[in-house]
Amino acid sequence: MNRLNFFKIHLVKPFWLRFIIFIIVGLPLFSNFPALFISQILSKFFNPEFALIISYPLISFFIWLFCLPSLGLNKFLDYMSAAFLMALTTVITSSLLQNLFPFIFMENAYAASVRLLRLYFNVLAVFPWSLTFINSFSPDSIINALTQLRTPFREAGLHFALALRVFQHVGTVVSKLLLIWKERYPSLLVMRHTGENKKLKFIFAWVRWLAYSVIDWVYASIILTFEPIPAMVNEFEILSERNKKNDFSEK
Amino acid sequence: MSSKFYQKEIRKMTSQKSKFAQTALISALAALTAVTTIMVRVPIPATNGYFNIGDVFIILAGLWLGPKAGLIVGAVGSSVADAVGFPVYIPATFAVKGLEGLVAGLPIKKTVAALLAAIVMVAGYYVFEAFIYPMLGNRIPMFAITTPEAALIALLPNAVQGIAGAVGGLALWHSIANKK
Repeated sequence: MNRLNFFKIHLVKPFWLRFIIFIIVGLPLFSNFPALFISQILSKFFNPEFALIISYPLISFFIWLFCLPSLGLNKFLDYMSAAFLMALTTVITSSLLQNLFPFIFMENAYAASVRLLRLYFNVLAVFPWSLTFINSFSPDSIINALTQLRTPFREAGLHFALALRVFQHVGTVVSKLLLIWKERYPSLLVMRHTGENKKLKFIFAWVRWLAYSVIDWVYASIILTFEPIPAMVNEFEILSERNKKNDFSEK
Repeated sequence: MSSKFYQKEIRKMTSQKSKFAQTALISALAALTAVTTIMVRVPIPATNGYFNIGDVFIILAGLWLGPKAGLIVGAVGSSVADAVGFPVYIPATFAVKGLEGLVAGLPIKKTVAALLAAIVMVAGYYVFEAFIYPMLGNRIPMFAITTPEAALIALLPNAVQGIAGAVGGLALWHSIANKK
């Protein structure tokens, strides 16, 4: 047996144990406490502010290590490129808006930087974690388990399995689409080419970028997301019909 | 394949009465709402909340699939996004975004429904940030993240978010789902 299998979370059985492990590992993404706890330990060796700042990348690094064996290197790198793009877009947009409209986003520069840094590493960890989480539960095994249940539960379970399959599909589409999107609209990520010194000119350029790029992204994501849905729906309708026929013949 | 082909396919799918088709569409829109909400997040320090563009899909869901679908997409999709990084806002988001989707799906003129949904979102967050959270914060410290003054500051970004969501949702509904 491959020694790495021990670290592959999607192989953990039963499924509820897998679920609990995911929640425990993802806890730092939902709450501040693990970061504060780590920073308290680190502050014995470093400046407390620096300790808090490095606790965020440490947590992200731990989550990447957790996801890597299950995803495999290629998939992991794909997800990470999409995550970096998402995180960069978020922090660049945030810092731009904070500078352009200080009366809304008022905060001292240090606090704003720490907040954005936290958000940056949060997005970097959330993206691979959530895709690993969704892809670690198989709709097929849910459908197999449902065959032993009574009709009303079976029908509800089929809807749940379909929703899971759609979520998995959206995850795949989004990670691929983000990379294509970056190729097409690189301007926000390459600031030196946008003439950011001229504030008004930049605001217009940014709003235009935002309008075109976001509309394009949203439209493309809808088309690619919905493309396989009719086939998925057909498959589940056939399964549902078969279940109903089986129930009828048993009676 | 052209986008017109997909438009036809999408329309065919929504004309199906199958419950599975509804489940698939609602799940897809909820997932897209969560992703777009996480994708562009601009923190608003005054209220510890953030500006995002996820409302586009909530309003689209309401306009396209009706109030029930709008409610589920708004409540579930946005709460999933809030769970990551902003968990204290989950109760407010679940109620406000759910209501936003529900209003967008009301059987009235689509433009009015979309604008009304945006107003509900802005007003809903104001009520939570100005009154409910400060009140809860007196008993549970976790909720003491905002004040009535801060809620006033957040009105402008929330209004921009609401208008962008209404315009984007309407534009998408016209391009992919409008049967006229």
